Parts: sequence; structure tokens; C-alpha cells
Amino acid sequence: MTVESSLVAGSEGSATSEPPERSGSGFGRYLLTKLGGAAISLFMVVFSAFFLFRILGGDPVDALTREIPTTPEERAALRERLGLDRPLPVQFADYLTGVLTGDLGESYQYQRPVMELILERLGPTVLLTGTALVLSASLGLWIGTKAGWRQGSRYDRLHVGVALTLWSAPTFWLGLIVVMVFGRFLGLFPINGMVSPRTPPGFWPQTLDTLHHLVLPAVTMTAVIYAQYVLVMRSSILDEMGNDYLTTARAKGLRDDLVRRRHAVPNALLPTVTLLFLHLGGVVGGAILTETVFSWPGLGLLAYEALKIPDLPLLQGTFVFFSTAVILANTAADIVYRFLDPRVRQS
Amino acid sequence: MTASTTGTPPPTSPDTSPEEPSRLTSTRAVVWQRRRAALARFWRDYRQQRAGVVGLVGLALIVVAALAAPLITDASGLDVTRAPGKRLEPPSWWPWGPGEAGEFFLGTDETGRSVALLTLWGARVSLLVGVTATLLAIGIGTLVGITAGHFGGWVSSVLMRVTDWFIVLPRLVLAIALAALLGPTIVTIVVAIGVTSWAGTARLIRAQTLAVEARPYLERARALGAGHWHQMTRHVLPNVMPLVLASTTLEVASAVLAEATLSFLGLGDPARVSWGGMLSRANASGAVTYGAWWYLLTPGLAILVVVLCFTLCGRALEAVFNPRLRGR
Amino acid sequence: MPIAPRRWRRVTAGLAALACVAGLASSNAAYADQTADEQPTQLVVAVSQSVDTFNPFLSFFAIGYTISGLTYDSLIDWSAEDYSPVPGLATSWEESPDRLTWTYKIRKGVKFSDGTPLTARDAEFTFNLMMTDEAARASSADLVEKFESVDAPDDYTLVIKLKEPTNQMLALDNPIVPKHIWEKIDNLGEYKNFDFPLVGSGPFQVVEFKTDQFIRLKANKDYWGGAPKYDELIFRYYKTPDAAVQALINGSVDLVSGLTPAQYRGLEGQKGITRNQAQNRRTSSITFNVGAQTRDGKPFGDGHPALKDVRVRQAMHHAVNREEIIEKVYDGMATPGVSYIPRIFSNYFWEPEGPEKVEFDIAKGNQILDEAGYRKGPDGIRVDPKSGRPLSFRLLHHADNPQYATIAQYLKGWWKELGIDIKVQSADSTKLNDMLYAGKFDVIFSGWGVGPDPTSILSLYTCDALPSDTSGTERNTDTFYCNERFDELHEQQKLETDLTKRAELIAEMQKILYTEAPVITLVYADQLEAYRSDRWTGFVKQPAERGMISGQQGHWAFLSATPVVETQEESAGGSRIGLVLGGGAAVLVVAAAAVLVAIRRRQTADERE
Repeated sequence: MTVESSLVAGSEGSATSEPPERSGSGFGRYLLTKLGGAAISLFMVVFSAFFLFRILGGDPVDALTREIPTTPEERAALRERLGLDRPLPVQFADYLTGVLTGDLGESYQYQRPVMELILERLGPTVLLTGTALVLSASLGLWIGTKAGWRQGSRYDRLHVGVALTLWSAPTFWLGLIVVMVFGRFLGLFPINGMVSPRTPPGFWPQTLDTLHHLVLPAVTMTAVIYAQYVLVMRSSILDEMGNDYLTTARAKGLRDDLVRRRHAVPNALLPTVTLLFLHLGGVVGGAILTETVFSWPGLGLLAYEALKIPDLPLLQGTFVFFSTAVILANTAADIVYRFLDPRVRQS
Repeated sequence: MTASTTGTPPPTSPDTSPEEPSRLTSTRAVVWQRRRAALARFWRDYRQQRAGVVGLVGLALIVVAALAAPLITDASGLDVTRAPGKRLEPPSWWPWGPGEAGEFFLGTDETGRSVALLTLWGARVSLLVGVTATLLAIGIGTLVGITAGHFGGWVSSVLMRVTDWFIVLPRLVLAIALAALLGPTIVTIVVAIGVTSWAGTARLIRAQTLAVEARPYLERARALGAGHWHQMTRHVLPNVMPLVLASTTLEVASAVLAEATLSFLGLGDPARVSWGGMLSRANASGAVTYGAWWYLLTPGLAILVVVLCFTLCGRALEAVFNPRLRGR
Repeated sequence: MPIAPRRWRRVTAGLAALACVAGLASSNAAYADQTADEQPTQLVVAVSQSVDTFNPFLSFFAIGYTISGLTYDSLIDWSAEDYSPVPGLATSWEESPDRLTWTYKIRKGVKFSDGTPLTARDAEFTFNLMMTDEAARASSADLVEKFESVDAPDDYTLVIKLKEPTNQMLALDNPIVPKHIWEKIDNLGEYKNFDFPLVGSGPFQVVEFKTDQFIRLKANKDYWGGAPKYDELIFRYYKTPDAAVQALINGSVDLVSGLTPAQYRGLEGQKGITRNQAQNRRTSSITFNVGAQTRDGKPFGDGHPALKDVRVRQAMHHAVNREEIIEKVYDGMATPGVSYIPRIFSNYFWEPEGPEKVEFDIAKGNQILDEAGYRKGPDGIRVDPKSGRPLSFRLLHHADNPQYATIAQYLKGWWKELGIDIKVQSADSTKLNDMLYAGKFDVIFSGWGVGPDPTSILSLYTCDALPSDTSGTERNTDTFYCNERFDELHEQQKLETDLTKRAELIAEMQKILYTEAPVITLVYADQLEAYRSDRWTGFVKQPAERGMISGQQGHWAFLSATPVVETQEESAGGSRIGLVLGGGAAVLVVAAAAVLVAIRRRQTADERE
């Protein structure tokens, strides 16, 4: 995913391609369009999941009876029980209803419902990605604003350089380096899991231990994705700087950073907020790699585990879940953006 | 938000209509002269992007090295059965171990092959996959974008709906799914990356197509009876190409990262040496515990440098084609 | 001055961040140390395999076996000395003269972990469950196949009547479950046995389980074999290879196994850590498609016809340089593969002597092929005179196994010198197995974890293991091998209860496999482990000679592990430092906050326009 192009691409389709209408009826129609679009996208996710995993993925009966000697009659019975003897469109309808009711099948290797596994792992992933996003956005905002304001200065060049360099590093590699430095050589922070089993039960020790474990994975993830926010914020500030109202504010004699804080930043904030949501697709990828390197027990690690065998129901379930989450987040972003768009607000 | 897609047309020459009177040699000469002048202008603008020049130089060096690998080195050193060194030797100039340093500049891997040699040859695979996957992605994206922009109406709606969907889908998850289903070969990786990366380009191209289509000379061409295919290939495409170029460069960066990631996750071709594969094997053989920092650092840095160079070039190209972005 | 507060703010913000981080790091340590006295002694073992179920009747994964072996007991155990059958819950056993009735005397005074006494009726219940409930047979169908009836005439006697004689009665190592709990389970096939704490008669029972994080077992202080010398056994999950080793080094884990040679070497000289290079029950081998066929003799698949010729296989065997594979791929930490049954099972292991032994000899291989009539073509590749096809074979290996990938390259090079062309292919486990059972391969990598009773592993090569149809859905055979003499010997050895005679029969079977070469055993890769010897000692290994600690057939190591007594001063000092650091960090944070607030107050005054 390219830095600015992706951002451009993201905003293109949503806010800027539709002329801002008067709030009220316009917003209502916008909402409906967006929700309708989301519904279609979700349907396409389910359809492609079915196509990919059922059709390309081979016969589930084979996979399920892999280790167990079965007679042909047993296999036929199993086939009937799983509904595999019915025509494909019916199977798809079954799968669709299953997804809508939260039944995503059962994992081969864990022998548990996929939805159960996903819900179990959701918390840790949200904790990790949430922390990384907050840190990245804050860091990106801070540095991006300063860099944009002082365009061309040493600060600007240095920070853009560092950001681009970290952005170019593979997430998992950065993680491995961090593991080697902090695990093998320094030993300051734990490099595995979320909690030590030696930690006594009870809210405070468990929380502190979790935070202790969170440091390295969060820092790794942040290091790679904060660059996006720096560059976007910087560009936004540069765009804003050419605007009239800022010149006016300066002419009025207001202090530089005041002007920055009160006027430029809030207006430049909007694209960053949008980016926060639109970036979720890429954050998912980063989460998978970071969790794998640090054995953080989240959805990313679950997806990695699904590659063993390969555990197709689990792979399919995580695919559907991730895609759905990103689509919903994007729809929310579109709606929120539209709501916050100054052109709409002012009218 | 900065929109490198709207507004100012790129400074390359617009295409000439072939319906002009055919004083062929002089027309062609004029065209070529105009093209040469545009190229010179482009280079002058590009040269001003210092970061872009750095990136370009870096890329040139790497590509030359990768292409020259069979000429300047012996491929037999890649054969595990003929590995020249002992396993996991530190670099020759590193006196602090672990283990005794051999004669290899960047040490050896867990089978005794030179890490420097592996990295050099790995460049060929990583770059090949990166470029091929990108060409696939750009190809699909350009086709979809121009078609959607040119035809408009329900064709555009459908195509853009599909495009939007691909944009939103988490790339890595889809690539993993495809690669896991199709089996561990180079072709799988290329397809997985290509299929998941075309959407961003498609959107850009479509916007640019809309801009180009609004220009008067295209109306003239239509009035003169130019068919759809002719319009798209002879008029729209050349004007869209500069944007495609910038997008392509940035996509290659992305594709190289994606290849490294998929190989690291174990989905790559085990018979080929690629940077991601090297890191995967380093991780699996316990290099971190052993402290074989040279084995971990080298392929990763190689990836970083290549991706950074492509990114710098891409950003420079974007700046050249959109004067508003210059000086950033 | 407007500039100074901004810089101050940055400085204090940075300090505050550092303080928070330092505070976190140390306060946690302080907390842990403070409560060290109240904490139970724990032996922490690293694992990576996900748990499928704790139901001993259904589990297929090794982790399930390990946990069952700790939670429950079986009638017969495998000795730590040499895998001989020794009394477990059964103190003695007797075979009737007509060989159809076995009588076991059950140990007295054994209690389940909930206090209920264990009797022969629990054993009766367990076996009857396996006989009547299909789901209960899932992972051990062949065990109860021959049972006619199982009875407990009194509390301490178990009588099993057989349909036909078998020596599997000496290998009854399946877990005995408590009747009073399991008779209440309706649907055994769906029961995961996640009702903690588990109730069993073994030395440890599972009390807590977090998927992919850890499994916690509590020691059974009333265990009949002697109480464990510590309180809890914890299996902690480490999904990446290095994470577990790092944890061993920094003390979060006490025992790690499955190390790679590089990791094993990397741990050399580490203080407080002892390494263990042990024999392994696993074989690594390559098998040939000797002609995929159904039990009725119907051929299928697309294996190369030349591989049906035993001389081709023997020639290829002569071109395998095991020494080089061990040196280059396993860093010397493996022993050359010989027979299908690994050396670790000294009771049954057979080794060829003298001229029987196949040495690495390319010339000999070429000679065999020349004499068999496989002439070399213009490109140096031999041609099969019967089918006219060149000897070009596909070599298939698991995509996620880099060692197999390397060995494949070596094999390719050696077999090239014989005039055989090799195409190396890789696939994930699922596809690989699909191709195997569909007969769509020529040479394939394989490997098995062998158990103390060789019947199951030997049955893979019987004609019975051949599938009944060509669909590839029956997965019992390994190479579609079928040899009448082999089957004959197999039936005999299944009945023989005299260990010496049985060993002789099995030796002849191994010899057949060795000379016919449907399988070539490459190596027995050593099991590489390491543990914190500054904290733990007294691990009983299995077998006694160069034995392993993890992955035993039995619980000897975990039962015998003894904690090393540690000094008290260290922990006290640590907690004091932790407290000071934590306290200092807190002070810094408060100070930084105060400064920040002061600065803000001043600024808002300036901001009024």
C-alpha cells in the first residue's frame, strides 16, 4: 500500500467525489447509500470466502478424516451430516446463514468453533493494535505537524527520512531484531505472550504484567506504521499553510504555535482521522506479523496458526472476520467523515 | 487532502492524432523531438528531487548487481550440497564470535553458504517477484481504471464497486489465503500479490481517465469517428502513463515487502533463495538464540534499502508530475 | 519567554515516559518477588503444539497423550530403563493356558484425585466404553478389536476374554478413567473434558487451561508412585522457536525440548543450564511408491514403474551418504538410520552385520543398475527397458521442513551420479498426504514416532494396510508395500508373548524391509533438550542410556524432578531494588506532572487575546 496514493484513493471515493449537499436529507441518503454499499461488500466477502475455501480448498471430509481410518459408509454419513451432498448453491445459502448467525465452522486443529476462538483472541489484538494506533497517530500528529510547519528544516528532513526508513522495513524483521536485542542481549522486557504464568492472580499484578508484555510488540508495530501518519499530517499542514485564514491569523499577531494549534491542526486533522480508519486493512497485516514474532495471543497469531495443516475453517473464519471488521470500519469512517466535513457543517 | 490525481495535466506531450495529413517523416520527427524535449524537461525536474536521485542511484546499483550476479560470482556456492563454509560462521572481520570467523564477508547461513552470496542472488528473486507482481497488478488496475473511466454508467459502477471492495480488504489476509490454497511456488506468490494490489491503481487511473476524457481533443477524436479501443489506447493511455509510472514504482516497493512477508510465513518457494526465505530459515534454525546477527541483519537491510529506494523514486515521480507536491 | 516552556514540556514529557517504562519494568519484578514466598513451586515446561482435546479417547496430538499420561494411569507402564512393560495399575498379570483369558491384579490403595478409591470396576468401565462407544475407539481402535468381554469379578481383579490370542495385552497403556465421572457423560464424541480440575489417578491433574497460553497441572500428593516434589507443573506455550530458548535463558521456563542444532550450540556454556542430547523415537525416512494398488490388486496412481524393481531401490540405497547428511544437515546430532525401528528400542532393534549392511558406494549402485539392464541414455540418464521411460523420479517433501529440503538436494545430487534424474517438489502437509494416498508420487519423505510396542508401526507395511478402493481416502499404508512372508511373520509376532522369540520374529521383518527397501531410513535425529540445572535436578531419563526428558512414554521425568533449594537473600535484595526503582519512578512521574501543570497555568495567561 503506497503512502499518499492510498490515502488519495481512500478519500477519493468517499467524500470528495460527491459534492457536499445540504445536511439533512442529503445526509440521510448518503447514510443509506453507504450502508447499502457495505452490505454488498460484506456479501462479496462471504461469497469469495466460500469460493476460495470450499472450491479451491478441497474436500473437507478428506481433511477431517485424515488421521482416522474410515469406511466408505462412514464417509458418506459424514458428508451428509455436513451437508456436502447438497448442490453448491444450497451449500452457499447454508454457509451464508451460518455466517449471519455467527457459525463459522470448526477448526481442524483446535476442534472448537472458529467463532469461539476468534472472540477469545479479539481482546489481545484490540489491545495491541489500539495501543499501536494511538501511539502512531499521536506520534505522527506531533512530528508531522512540526515537520510540516518547518518545511525544509533539519527537523523536517530528519524526521521524514527516519519515518520513510522505518516504513520500508519489514515488520517481522524489525520484530526479530527487537527480539534479539531485548531478548538475547538486554533482557529488559518479555518477548513472548501476554502474561507470565508466575504472575499472581488479581487485577493489578495481571494488568501490570500485561502492560509489561505489551511494550515490545506495541513499539514494533508503531515503528512501522507511524510513518504513514507523519507524512499525511505533514501534507495536510502544508496544504493548510497556503490558506488565507492563516495569513489573517498571523497578521493579527497571534503566536505561531497558537495559530498552529488552534487553527491549522484541527483542519488538518480531518484527513488524519479518516486515515485512522482507512488504514485498518494495513494494520491487520501488521498485527499478524507482530503477533507471530512475539507470540502475542491475538487474532493475528490465530491466522498464522491456521496456516498449519492448513486449517481451512480457521483460515476462512479469520479471513471473513478481518474483512468484515475492515469494511465496517471503513463505512463508519465514511459516515463520520461526511458528518464532520466542514463544508457540510457550515451549510 | 493532496490530490495528485486532479487538476494539472502531466507535462508530457499529448498524443498526435493520426488523422493528420501524412507528411510522415517530418511529423514523426516532430513527435520525437517533442518527446525528447519532454524527457529532458522531466529529467531536469526529477533531478531537483534530491531524495529521488539518491533512490534512483541506489536502484541502479542494485539492479546492476543483481543482473551481473551470474557473471561476477559462482552459482555453485548456492548449492547446499556444496556449501563452502561451516554453518553459522560470523563475518570474517568480526572477532567476537559466536564461533570462529571464517573467510566470508557476511558470514554463513545454517548450511554453510555465504550470506553475501545468498543476498546477492536473493536480489534476483525478490526483484523479479516484485516487478512481475507489480506489472500484473498495474496491468489489471490500468485495464479496470481506463475501462471504468471511459465507459462510465453501470460498467463504471460495477467495476468501481469491485475495486473499492479490493481496496478495503486486508491485503495480507487475502494474500495468505491465496498462497495457502495454491501451493508454494513463485507463480503463486506473484499471483497472490498481483491480485491483492491492483485496486489502488485502478482508482487513480479512473480519476485520471475522467480528467483526460474531458479534454477537447478527445471530443474531436470521437467526432472524427475514433472507436473505443482507439480512444483508450491511443489517447487516454499515454496521458495516464506518467501517473501509472509513479504508482508502479511505489507498488514495487510494496510488492517486495509482500514477497518477503509471504516467504517468511512459510508460503514461499522452498527451492528458491529469496530474502524473505532467508529470514524464514534464519528464524527457524535458531539464529536469534545463536546470536547470528549477520544472518538476520543482512537480508532485512537489503529489503529495507530496496523498498526505500523505490519509495523515494516513487515520491519523486509523484512530485514531478504534480507540481503542487514539489518541494516537499 | 514562550520558547522555554515548550522545551521544558518536551523534556518532562520524555522523562515521564521513561519513568513510566522503568516503573512498569521494576514494579512488576517487585510484585513478583514480594509474593515469592506465597507462590507454589512450579516446573515450567515449554510447548508449542495446540491442544485439540483433553479427552484421552479422542486425542491425536502428542500434547494430548502427554497430558493424559500425567492425569490418568494405565494398567501397564513402560519402564524408564528400556521400555519393557512394567506394572502400573496392574501389579501382576497372567495369561490362561488357552491364551484367551488374561487376568490382571489391580493395585490396592490407589485413589483418584477427588478421594474416590480406584478399583477394577473403573478399568472394566473404561474398556467396555471403548468396546461399545465408537467415539471412544477413535484413537485406539485396534486395541479392543480382539476383546470378547471385560469383567471385574471383584474390586481388585480384572478379567479380559479374547476372541483370539494377542500380545497386545502386554501393551495396555491406555488411560483408565474414573467411572463415577465418565458414566455421566452422554456424548463422548463431543466431550472435550474441559471440566477442571480433572479427576484422575495420575501424578498431576489439569486445573487450568488457557488456549495457546498455558496448561496448569496440580501435583497429586497422594499418588501411589510417590508424591511429586513440587506443587505445580505448567506447560507454557511458545510459538516461535527462539522464544522458548530466550525464556529458558532469562528464567521464565525450566525445560525446553525440540531444539535445533544451532540453538543447542548457542546454549553452550550458559550458566545454570544443562543440555541433553538424547536418542529419539522418531525416524526420518524416504519411501518409494512400489506400485500403488488396492487390496484386490488393482493398480492406481501414477508412480514410476521402475520403482517396482527392487534392484533400482537397492541401487538408490547405495547412493545415500548418511554420514554426510548427519554432518551437514543435523550438525552431527543424529545417528545413521538403519532399521525401520529406531535404535532406542533396544529390545527390538535389529542391525545388519557385515555384507548385509548397505554402505555408501556409488560404484556399487551403478553396478547394480548396469547388471539389471538399465542402460544410460545419451544424456546420462538411465532408461527402463520394460517401459522405455527414463529413470526420472519425483521427490516430494513437506514445504515447511527446511531440513527435508536440504536432504532432497543431496539425494538429487547422489542419484544423478547413478544416472537417475530427480525432480524435487514440495507441498504442504495436506496436499502431500493427498498425493501419497492417491499414489501420485515416486519418492516421498516420511517419518514416524515409534512406540514401545512395534505392532502398529509394522502393520503399516502389511497387505492389510492396502486400501480397499482407489479413492485415496483410506490412509493406513505408507508405501503400498505387500509381502506375504512379512505378513506371515507379523501375524506370528502379534501372538508371541515371549519377548526373546518375539524379538527374533521382528528382527526378520526388519531385515525384509531393509533388503527389499520400500523404505530407506535415513537418520534418527537426536532429541535436543535443555533445562535449568540451577533450579531443577533428578530427572529420570528414558531410556537409561542417552535418554530423553521430554516426550517420554510415561511420566518418569516429571515425577522425579526435584527443585534445587535457592537462597533467600537474592530474592530479598531483588525486591528491595525493585521497590526503590518503582518508587523513584513514581516520584519522577508526579514531579513531571506538577511541572507540566505549572507551565500550562503560565501559558493560559499569555493566551488571552
